[in-house]
Amino acid sequence: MNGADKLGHLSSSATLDVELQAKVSALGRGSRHDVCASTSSSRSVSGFRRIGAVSFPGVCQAFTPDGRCVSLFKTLYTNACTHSCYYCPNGAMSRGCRKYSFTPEELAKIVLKLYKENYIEGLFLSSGVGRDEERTMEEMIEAVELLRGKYGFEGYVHLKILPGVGRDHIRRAMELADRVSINIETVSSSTMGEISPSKDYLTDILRRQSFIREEMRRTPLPAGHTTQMIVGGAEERDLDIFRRAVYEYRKMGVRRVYYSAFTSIEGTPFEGRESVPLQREKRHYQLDWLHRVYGFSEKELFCVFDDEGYLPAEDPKKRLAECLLDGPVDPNTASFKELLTVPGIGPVSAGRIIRIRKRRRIESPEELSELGVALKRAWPYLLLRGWRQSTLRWWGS
Amino acid sequence: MRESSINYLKRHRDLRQADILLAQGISEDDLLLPENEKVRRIRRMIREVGTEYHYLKSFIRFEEPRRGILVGYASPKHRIKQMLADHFAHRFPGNLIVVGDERSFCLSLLSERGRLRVEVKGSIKVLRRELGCGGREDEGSVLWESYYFSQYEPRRRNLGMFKRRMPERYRREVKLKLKSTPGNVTLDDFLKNKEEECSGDKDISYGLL
Repeated sequence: MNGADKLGHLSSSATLDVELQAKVSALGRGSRHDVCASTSSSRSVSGFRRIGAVSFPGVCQAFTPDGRCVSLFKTLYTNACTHSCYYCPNGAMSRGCRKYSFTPEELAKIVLKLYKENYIEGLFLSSGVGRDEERTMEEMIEAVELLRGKYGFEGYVHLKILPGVGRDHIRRAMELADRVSINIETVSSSTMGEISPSKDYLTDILRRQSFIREEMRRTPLPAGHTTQMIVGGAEERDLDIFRRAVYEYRKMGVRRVYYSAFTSIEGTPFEGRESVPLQREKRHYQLDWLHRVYGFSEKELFCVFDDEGYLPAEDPKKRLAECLLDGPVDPNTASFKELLTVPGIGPVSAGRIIRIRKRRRIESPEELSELGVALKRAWPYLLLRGWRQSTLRWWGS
Repeated sequence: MRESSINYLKRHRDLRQADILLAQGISEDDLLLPENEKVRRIRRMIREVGTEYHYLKSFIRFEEPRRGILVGYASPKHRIKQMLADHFAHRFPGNLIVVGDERSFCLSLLSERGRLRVEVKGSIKVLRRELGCGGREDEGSVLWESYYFSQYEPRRRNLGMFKRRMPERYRREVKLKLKSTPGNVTLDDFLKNKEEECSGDKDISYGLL
């Protein structure tokens, strides 16, 4: 008998339990500020006595009306929490939020139900700490153990490590999940004090990340570990956020840093504060992309910040091109790195340009467009057949 | 050319024998900057099939009317029903996967005893009725709607992006419909109303209660 045969109905009544719907909604809502929606894993899946597999990257079973991908059942295990994070609706100092909690069996059955009907690609399980982070983490692990063991679930699992939990729990979580994460939320101990005074930045967060990094030598995670920062939660500058992100990549070995603009939520101690514009969050993603995917160094990227340490209101890559390029770039002769510096050219289109020019010269802007170059942004920086657009202010006429 | 590209090409609804012959003589690099309209056509056809396959792998929804049988509605433009069924047969070994529409459906089963792949002419609606689809299994759909709307962040509303990423022609596969709402409000109604109404969290429950 495989896992599917053991799966009963989710409720005993003819219609789905209204209470269960309310619980799914409340716990789902509690996790929606966690941004990661990745489902890509290097784990190989075989055998016949299983449910599911890990799949291709870029899968999105649905998109919400805000345009974001819904590929995982992203939920809290419980929205009860003793931490007093000033920005969080589940925090001990927030009001008016009814507390819910799954049981391991209930959560496992919901995941399997949604997965078999192809609503989701896997599970993203986060949580408030409940009364005690160790006990809550145990129950989260128990839910994933049920999925993996009793039900033979081989789909994607992202498990959140709760701040301050013991190393044994971290190790077990890493054995079960494709990806684990712990949110650093902010850039330093002092800014953590501004937004979440009950958490110790060094002990509860960074030390747990060090455990993950060390355990990865023994238990490699198929999808690595990640973290997330709130942009503008405290008084930190963009440069501080970038430096912390670089530290996370270099020292902690995280696969991705995610960013979430601070949003003022009713009922929280920060409800009167102004939300941070989403554009600021977007600039951090653009910068992160330039560092992580395009390979620009921390030093090269310092030039995109203004004197106060904030990012410009425009695409940071435009600023970077102004810093790094001495003149227009000829796509027929430029190096891969030079091509990457041009706004509108990414690693894929730069790779295509290099491939095609081994066969023949690129003759027109239309050809560049066909190779995937965003011509509107790239054209002012390019030189093609001796001709270039003459509107670039810093190169003169 | 890559085998997967040839495979996509062969499944395009407008495929001509000449397309295959031409494709066999060109490389992936030839598709980067097509030399002529015939090669451009090959590239377009491969992309169209690949895009549709990618979308439907994500957007198809299954019902399980009987233990071990998963039935999903999909009405692709191109001949990819069997590919879709095979994809899910690999994902759910031991389960019979049925994928199709009113014209035909494909079956796929991967088990320790071997592999089954069959294409049947006929409507999947008849099969669904015979298997008793549309009953309790809507549990998953109701649950998913509760979850789906919990993930919506009104502050980030971006309907243009939503419509681009979730083309209307796939909405039937996705089963995005608020059946439990008084007056049978549909997703389109919801989106229209949200333009004026969704300014805070409280509004999210509007479509669900």
